[in-house]
Amino acid sequence: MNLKSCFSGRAAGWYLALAGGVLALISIVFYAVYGAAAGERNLLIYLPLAAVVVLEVLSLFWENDWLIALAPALGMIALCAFVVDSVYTFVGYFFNLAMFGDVSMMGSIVRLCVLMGAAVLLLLVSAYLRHRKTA
Amino acid sequence: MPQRESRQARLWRGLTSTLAVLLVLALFATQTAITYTGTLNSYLGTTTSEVVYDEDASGEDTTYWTSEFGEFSAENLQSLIQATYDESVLEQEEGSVLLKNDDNALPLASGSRVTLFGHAFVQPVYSPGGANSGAASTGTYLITPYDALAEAGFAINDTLYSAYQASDTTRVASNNLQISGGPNSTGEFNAAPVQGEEPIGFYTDELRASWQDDYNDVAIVMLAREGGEDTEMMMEDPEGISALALHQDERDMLAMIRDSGVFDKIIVLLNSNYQMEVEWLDEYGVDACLWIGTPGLRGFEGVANLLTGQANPSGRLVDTYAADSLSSPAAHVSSQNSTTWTNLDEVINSGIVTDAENNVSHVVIQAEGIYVGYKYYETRYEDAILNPSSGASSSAGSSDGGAWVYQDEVSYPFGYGLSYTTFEQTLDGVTYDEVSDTFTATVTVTNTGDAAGKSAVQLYVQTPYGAYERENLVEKSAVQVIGFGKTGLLEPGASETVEVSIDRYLMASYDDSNTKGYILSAGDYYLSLGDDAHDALNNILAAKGATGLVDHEGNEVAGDAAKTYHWTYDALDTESYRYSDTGELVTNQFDDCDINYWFPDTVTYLTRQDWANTFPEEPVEVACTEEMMVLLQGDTYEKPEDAPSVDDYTQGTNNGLTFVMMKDVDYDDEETWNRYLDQMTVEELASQLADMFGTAEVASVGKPAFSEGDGTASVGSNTFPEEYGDTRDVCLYPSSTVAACTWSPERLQRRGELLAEEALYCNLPSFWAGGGNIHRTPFGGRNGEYYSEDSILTYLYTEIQLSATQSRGVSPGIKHLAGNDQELYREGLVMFFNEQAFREGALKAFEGALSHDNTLALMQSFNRLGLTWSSSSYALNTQVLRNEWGFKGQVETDGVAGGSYKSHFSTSLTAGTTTYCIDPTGSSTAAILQEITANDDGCLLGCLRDAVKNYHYMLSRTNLTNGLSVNSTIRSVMPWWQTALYVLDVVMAVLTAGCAVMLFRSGRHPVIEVKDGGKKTGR
Repeated sequence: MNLKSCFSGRAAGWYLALAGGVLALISIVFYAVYGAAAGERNLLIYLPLAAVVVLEVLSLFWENDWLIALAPALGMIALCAFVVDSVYTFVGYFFNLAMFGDVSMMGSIVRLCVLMGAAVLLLLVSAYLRHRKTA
Repeated sequence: MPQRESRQARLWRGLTSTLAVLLVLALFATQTAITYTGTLNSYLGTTTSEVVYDEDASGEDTTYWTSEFGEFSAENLQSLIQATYDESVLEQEEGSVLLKNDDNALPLASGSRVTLFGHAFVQPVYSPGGANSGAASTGTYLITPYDALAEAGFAINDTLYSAYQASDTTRVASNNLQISGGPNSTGEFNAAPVQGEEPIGFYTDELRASWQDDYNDVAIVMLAREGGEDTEMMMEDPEGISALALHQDERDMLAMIRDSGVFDKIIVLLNSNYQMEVEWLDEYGVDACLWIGTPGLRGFEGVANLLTGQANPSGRLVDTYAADSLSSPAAHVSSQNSTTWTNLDEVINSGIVTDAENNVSHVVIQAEGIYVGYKYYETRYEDAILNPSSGASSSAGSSDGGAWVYQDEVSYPFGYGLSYTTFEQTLDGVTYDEVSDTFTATVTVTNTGDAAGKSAVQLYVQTPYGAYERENLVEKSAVQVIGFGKTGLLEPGASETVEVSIDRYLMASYDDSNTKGYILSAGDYYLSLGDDAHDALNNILAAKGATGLVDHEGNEVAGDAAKTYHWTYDALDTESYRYSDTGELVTNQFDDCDINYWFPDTVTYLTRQDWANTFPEEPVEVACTEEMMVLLQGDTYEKPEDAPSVDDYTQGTNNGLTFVMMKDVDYDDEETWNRYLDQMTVEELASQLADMFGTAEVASVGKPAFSEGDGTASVGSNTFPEEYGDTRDVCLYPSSTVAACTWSPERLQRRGELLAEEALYCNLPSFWAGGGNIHRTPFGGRNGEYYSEDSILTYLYTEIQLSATQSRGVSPGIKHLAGNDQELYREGLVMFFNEQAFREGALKAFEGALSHDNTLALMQSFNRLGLTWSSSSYALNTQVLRNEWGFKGQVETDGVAGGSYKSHFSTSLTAGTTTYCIDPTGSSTAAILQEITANDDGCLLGCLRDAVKNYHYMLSRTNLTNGLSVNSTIRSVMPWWQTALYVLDVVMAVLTAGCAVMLFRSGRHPVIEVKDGGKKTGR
């Protein structure tokens, strides 16, 4: 099996899922940068995103409906955990009270939410689509 | 083998995936909602516990705290509401201050045709802002300035008013400095402040025509300044000037009005809790100026009554109105003039300090010492007359760079205010009672004018500043307000005798260098009656034979020695106040809060011995040593070697005591309180730490869960309960500063009583009621929540108002102990000061409320005392508060959400903190519990028990006991939202599982080639 054969016969759904996996990988990197600045490190964000990346790598070699169905939920775990961690900053931003969180990180938080949300969405849509072209 | 994805399989796969995502969302939502149970319950009006009443006690009267309006009913609620509205109007009438009234411009004739100028008329400031006054400044019951003036009979220029309403101009209150920390730089997510006045181009020819021939009896101009929590007034705003100075659009508008030449009168209303610069009044031909603060829900009716003469102004300033808002020594060293450590990078990267950078970086050294507000201006005035060698007339600190001249520096002195009538006040006599250690001054007030009115009685004291004080750097203000009173409504020609009781303790000074305690100086004392602080000082100077006296406008005056009372102490007295009323030795506790402790001779505090060379023109910057960094990090608690074991305590036993029974148990009954505390498990004790505007129930002792309010100008964001048929918002009163300007014990008491009545109807056992910080500068964002620049006036006011609330079964928490006098960098701000200034200033302001059981609750401040977070200061919370002042009750942090330096729970708990504000996730509970159990820390458990004892002591003295009998119990209930979330979780799980089963059944099938060339799928 070579890399070219991994990509042969793939349909739109698979490519969307792959894109979701790429976004998940980018999210891991962005979160690491954000976490260094904000002093945060939540494994409930790292691990599910990493699992999504692993699943998409596996999908190169192994087709399995359960893994396709599971990936968006994993991404959602990471997104929800991040939003919960950032609640104070949202409150501080919307209520203009500096005692909650660090609203100067709001931009980074929004970007990460968009990245993770986009990953989840792509993975979710891909679950409805063909991953392999019909013979 | 290639797999075929059937359409059906893809559908089930997609649905399984979708529902799995929704299941995750539902589970997180459920978990988050449970974490924030208190918050949600507060918003939704739900609860997680309910009281199970003892049926056998149905005949008992368990309404321990009743309303003055009778039984709690719909009808009586209406009486209460009307009373609050009436009181708001009265408070505004008596608290507004008439600063200028040339040729009796006010009151205005009924039916005057007026034009209202200023965008503030369509965007007034009703409340002090921020978290404190969540009660509505909108809605059906709000009286707008337009409505009030129209109702008062004025014919209003609707053309201009409508134009203001249609304008896009909007005032934006923001200091925008909190994020970036740099002056005039826009923080990334903070809006830039917008002054909110219309530019001159707004006034088109058409608009100008609207007042050319009509509506020109009076131009009423309203200028506003809006701040609040986390919103400092800027010393240098985007226009490059003080936010409190007149801005260009305002100047243009005033010039337009003046130059039109058509108005018979020009009246200015100052809608601001911050002392605006007002030297421009004559320049723009202003005939009268009325300061109105922030009037709340109904106060504009009071303003209108003053304008029409239906009410006579009797308010007096509680701050000095300086010609230049930046001229005070305090302004030179704080707020936007705060500094950072000179070795900030070293501090951040030290490995010792690990908290958030913004919480460990900023420093203020209060080099002004005791000379805040009028204490600075009036003392310097006296020294310019009596002691020129002190450099009082030097240019140091002068607003114009020339010689310092009092009348050039002060627009209106502390205590100033005019009336529509005139009064004569005579000091009839002063007596001293040794037993009560109080002076009583008798003052006769006569209305010598033509209109009925009330008159404030102001008494000031001058204590000796002699050789001892000079040698030991015990600074003395030339005058200190020491007592007050107010007449009733006096008809023309009528008189009233007012007796003012003065606690001699308030005349003591704190000597932090030699005696290290309170002293009564040897020498001459003067008690003086005065129309304001400057007038009182002139009377004293007259008694001392001084000449060259002037009033605040520079007119020569003689002073009136007859309004003074003089006595002498022959010897320095270091013993009268050596011990507090509790028997505790009062001595230095805050030596390490003085920067000179760390770096000797770094700061010479402002002294009246040498104004020229000690005026703090620039803030001093300092470094942070490693030793200081340890304190700065603040996580200093270590389990003592001799700490008892947790097993040495008995927790979770049933001793037959309930929460309601504790309402009759004396605080010092240790045995009963210990048996009560023994009933709670360690988990239950720890559950009481996290306060989300209310704390959890404790089933083992039958203590209910509850909600608390957050006020000063109201009991918080609350509406009256549905059961009384009227769910309108509680009343938003005029600001604390307006209340303070009444100088009326009656108004303060009534405010306290009515706030309590509203809290009773709203089932609030407590609310954050009083602001004890002082207006150290005019720029402090929360100044509207606080009373005055003077600490003793605050001491006296909070004694009256808060004890009135406490006496009705509602605990009025005072905040923020101590030193929260700027919003900028408030979280973790390092504050250095000398102990005399602290004891006589920031701390004294709280002492009246917190001693002698006048209130049983307080909130600490975000800032540090020296390097130590106020909540972690043992010196403050235990030694001074409990040991010296005898305070019993709740000692709560300010909001700890956000962690960082506020998450050092063990250190703060052992320092004397009892509860943690805005801790929605219970991080304090979890941390303390973990530390107690993991380390077998009986010392920490002991502190936790003390905390709960103090907290429950406070609660047991409130209406939280209403309805509880001895055998009432607490039952946990699940609020509807929690049930709904659990149902949602189950539904999502079932649907997800169902789709998964269908996916399994429809799964992929291999493509099987058959010999005839067709294809067949098979299982």
